[in-house]
Parts: sequence; structure tokens; C-alpha cells
Amino acid sequence: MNDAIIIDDNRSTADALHQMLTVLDIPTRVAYGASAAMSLLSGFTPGLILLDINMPGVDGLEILAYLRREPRLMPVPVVVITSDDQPETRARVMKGGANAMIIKPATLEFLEENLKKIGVMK
Amino acid sequence: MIGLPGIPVKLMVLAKREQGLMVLRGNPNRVKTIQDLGCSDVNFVNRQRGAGTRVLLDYYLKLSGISPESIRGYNQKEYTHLNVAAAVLSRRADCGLGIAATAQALDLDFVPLFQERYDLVIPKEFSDGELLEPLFKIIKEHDFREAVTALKGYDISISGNVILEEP
Repeated sequence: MNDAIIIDDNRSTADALHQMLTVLDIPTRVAYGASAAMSLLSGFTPGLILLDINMPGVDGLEILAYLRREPRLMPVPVVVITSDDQPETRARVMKGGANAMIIKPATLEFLEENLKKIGVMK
Repeated sequence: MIGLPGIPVKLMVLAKREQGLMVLRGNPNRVKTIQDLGCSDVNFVNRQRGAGTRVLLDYYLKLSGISPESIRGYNQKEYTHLNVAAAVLSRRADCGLGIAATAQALDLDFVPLFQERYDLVIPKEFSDGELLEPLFKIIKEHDFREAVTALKGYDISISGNVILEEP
């Protein structure tokens, strides 16, 4: 599997997720925000994307819409990680094409469970 | 009448946002105005039919007397600001309409063209009640104003102002 990308402007959350993916043996690159993410994605197709929603400027839902319209990136599994647990948000995220949504703070067990559920891990 | 037949409303400004052309760094085609889109050597990428950005473009094209057919790429469409910006970055197009924050995210230059205003249309029966009080409070809050001001291209200098009140 190609490296995963974590897209989150909150450094401590992004770093914590990075540690979890490392424990799960998934090589990972980190983008601390939309700008860094778009720069990474322009030249590389990840095997998995963990995506935060609430980011300034270009938010996660816009990035999700972009990913699902870009033929090269369309098949990449996307797990949205957000602190917004409103049912409307979940509906928008899943309708937007995410494969799973996890409410922060994500735990290692729950992340692993979801990655297995969407076929990223066996 | 603003658009809610039989229901008197108040019109309150929420924010103004700049729309403009996203171009490669240095603006190699020197696109500066909406008229420049009519130049045959500029390849434009549009938004899909029904998108607010496209409605805005069509409005200004009509106002300027420019026919859509004269714009190379008018019928090429993308579905989000980010996809338009990505088309410019990958040189599938020379420019496309979008917002400054998106241009910034992809390290593109931004040529401001026009400002769009977002208003809240509030039925008067709710304008003084408790229901919308939290919303009006947030609009006035320092944290909110600071967060929006930090976004490139947004202007909240008159947000919260009531600009029309139907009897």
C-alpha cells in the first residue's frame, strides 16, 4: 500500500494519528493543513487519507469533494476524523464520499477497527 | 419583496467575499479583467451550471457585453473551487474563477474581480425573538470576526448591519 496522508491543521492531533498509523504499520506522511495537503497530493497518490473537517481557508469537505472529482484520487479510501458529532455532519461527510467517519479523540482500537471495516487493513 | 411572498423580512449582511481569477504564479497570461477572458490565447475553466460562481460570472459577462462563446474554455467545467485550481496548477487551463483562500492553498496567484455579498434573509417574526439570538451574538463576537478576517478575501466590516426591513 502507498503511504497514507494525514490532513489536519492541528499539529498535536495530526502527530497523534501519525503515531497510531505507525503502530499499525502504515507508513504515513503528514500535511498540517490544506495547502500542504494539496501540494503533497499533486504528485503522489496515497493509499489512505485521514482527513480533518474543520480547517481554516479550505476545509475538509472541500478537499473531500475535490478528491471525489479527481479521477486519480477518486479510489483512495478517506476516513474523516472530526470532533463534530452532529448527525447532519455525518450525513454530509458520507454523502460527500468518505469511507468512514471517526469522532475525535480517535483511539487506536477504533481507528484499527474502521480501517479493517473499509478494507485498508486485514 | 425579497423572495418570501407574503412574509415580511429583514435583510442582514453576513459577509462579503472576493471572487477572482486563479492563475499560475506570476500570471503568465497577464489576465487582469473579465474582458481579458475573451482573448483567444487564454484558456479558461468554468464551474458547473448552477454553481453560484458561474451565476456570478454570467451576470458580469452580461453586464460587460461579453458573449460566453467568445471565451475559450467556457464549456470546460469543474465542480469545486479546488478542482478549478487544480486544473490551473496542472496547466489544463490558464485561469478559472474562484476565491483567494483556494488560490492560496494551491500556491496560485489571485486576481480579484468582484465582490459578492452574503446576506441573511430573516422573517421579521423571528428577527427579535430568542430563536436567532445566538446567531446574532456570534456575528458580533470578537473570536468570530477574528477568524473570518484571518481568511483571505473575506470582509466583515458591515456584517450584522440591517440593510433592508420590509414593513
